[in-house]
Amino acid sequence: MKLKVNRLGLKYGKDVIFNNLSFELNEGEILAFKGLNGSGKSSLCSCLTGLFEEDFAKDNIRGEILYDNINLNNMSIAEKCNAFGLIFQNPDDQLFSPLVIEELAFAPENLNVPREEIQRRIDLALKTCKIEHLKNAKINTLSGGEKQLVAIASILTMQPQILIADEITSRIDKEKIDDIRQILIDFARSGKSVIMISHNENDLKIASRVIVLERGKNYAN
Amino acid sequence: MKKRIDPRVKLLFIILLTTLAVLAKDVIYMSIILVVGIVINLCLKTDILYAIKRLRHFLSILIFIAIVQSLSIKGGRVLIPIGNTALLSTKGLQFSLEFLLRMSIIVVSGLIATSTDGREMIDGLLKLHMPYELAFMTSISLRFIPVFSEEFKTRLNAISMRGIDIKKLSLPKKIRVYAYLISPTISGCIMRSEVLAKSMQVRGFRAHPKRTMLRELKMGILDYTLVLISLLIAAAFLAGMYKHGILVTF
Ligand SMILES: Nc1ncnc2c1ncn2[C@@H]1O[C@H](COP(=O)(O)OP(=O)(O)O)[C@@H](O)[C@H]1O
Ligand SMILES: [Mg+2]
Repeated sequence: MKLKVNRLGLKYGKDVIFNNLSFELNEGEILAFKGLNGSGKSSLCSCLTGLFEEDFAKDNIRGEILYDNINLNNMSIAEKCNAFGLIFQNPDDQLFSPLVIEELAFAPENLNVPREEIQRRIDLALKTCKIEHLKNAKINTLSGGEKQLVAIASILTMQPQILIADEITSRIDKEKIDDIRQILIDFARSGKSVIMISHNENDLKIASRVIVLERGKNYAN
Repeated sequence: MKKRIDPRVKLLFIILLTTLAVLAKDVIYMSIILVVGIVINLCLKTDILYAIKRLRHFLSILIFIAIVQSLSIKGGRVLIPIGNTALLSTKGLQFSLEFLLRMSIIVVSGLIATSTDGREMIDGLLKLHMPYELAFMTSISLRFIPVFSEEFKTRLNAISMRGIDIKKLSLPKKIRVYAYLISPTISGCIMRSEVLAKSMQVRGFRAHPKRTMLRELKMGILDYTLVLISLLIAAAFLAGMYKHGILVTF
C-alpha cells in the first residue's frame, strides 16, 4: 500500500468540507475524485501535499495520511516531494518562472539533483508532454493549453511516486486530451500511482476507482 | 548558441554606472556617462524605446520635478528675467540638468538587467554567494510590481463598469476612490503570493540549504576583458572628476 488515508476531515472554520474520508492507493493505480465545484477537491489535494500551515491544520484537519506507513506530518520537504507531485488546477497559479526550461528545472534544482540528471529529466518530460519545441520559450508567450502542458512537465521532472492531477484536462483542446490521459496511464503503468480530479466522464474511464466528493459529507459509514 | 555576456559582468556595469551617476556633479561628465550607458544598452540589444514607453509616467514626473527645481533654485547668471527677479538662472538650470541626467543614467543602467534571459540575474547573484532564498525573494518581489498594477487595474475597471468615470472626478474624490481600492488590491496581491508560495513549496523550495543550478555560469575571456576595461574606464572617470573638483563630497 503506497498511500493510506484514515478518517480525514477538513473544515475552514465552521465550514465543514468533508469528514472521515478514508481511502487507499496502490502502486500502478489511478484513483479518481469527482464532485461539483466547491465540493472540496482542490482542498483535498492541498491536504495530501501538506500545504496547510501547522496552526491551521491543528484546528481544522483531522485524521491521518500515511505514505509508506509514515505520517505525512513527519516527512521532510524532500520526502514529501519524492512522494507527491501536485499539478495545480490553474497553471497560472503554478508557473512563475520566466522561461519554460527554468520552470522544469525548479523542482530538481531544489532537490539537489545533479545537473546532467536535471537535463535528462527535462528532455524526458518535454518528450512525454510533446512540447520539445517549447524548451527555450518564454512562459508568458504561451497559450493556456501550452501552459497546462508545461505545468505537467514541471511536476514530472520532480519524479514523484504519486501524481496528483487537479482538473488538468479542463483547459486542453479536444485533440490533445487523449495525450494527457496517456501521460497519466503511462505514469501509473510505470509502477507509480495517480490521483486524478475530474468531471470529465472520459477521464474517469481510465480510473480504476472513482470517489464522489460531496461538500460537508461525513464518510464514516 | 552564441556567446552571452555573463550576468555578473552586467551587474558590474550597473553598479559602476549608478555609482558614477551618484558621485558626478558635472553636466558634461554626466552626459558622457549617460552616452556610455546607452551604448552598452545598444550593444546588449535592450529595447530602450519600449522601456521609455512603459516608464513614460515616471519620466514625466522627473521632468516636472526638474522644471520646478530649475525655477526655484536661484544663483549664477540670470537667463530669463521677469521684472527685477530671475525666472531662470544658470544655477537652477545646471541643478535640474544634473538631476535629470543622474536619474536617466540610473534608469538606463537598470535597463541593462533586462538584457538577461529569465533568471540569469539570480544565477549571477548566487554565484556571488548571495543566499538563494534572498536572490529568489528579490526577483519575485520585482515580479510583483506588475501583479500589483494588474490587480489595481482590475478593480478600477470594476468601478468604471458601475458607471463611475474616474477621469471626470474631482481630485479629492479621485483620491477617495483610489484609497478605497488599495486594501482589496493588497489582499488580492497577498492571495496571489500565497498561491505562489504553495507552488514553490510543493516543488521543494528550501528543501536543502543548497540547491543545484541548471545553468552553468562561466566567465570567459570576453567577460574578464570587459570587467578590466570597465573598471579602468570607471577609475579614469573618477580620477578626472576628482582632478576637476566635480566629485560630490559628502
Ligand atoms: N483557504 C480557504 N479558506 C476558506 N474557504 C476555502 C478556502 N479554500 C477553499 N475554500 C472553500 O472550500 C470549498 C471547496 O473549495 P475547493 O476545494 O476549491 O473545491 P473544488 O476544487 O472542488 O471546486 C469552497 O466553497 C471554497 O470557497
Ligand atoms: Mg478545484
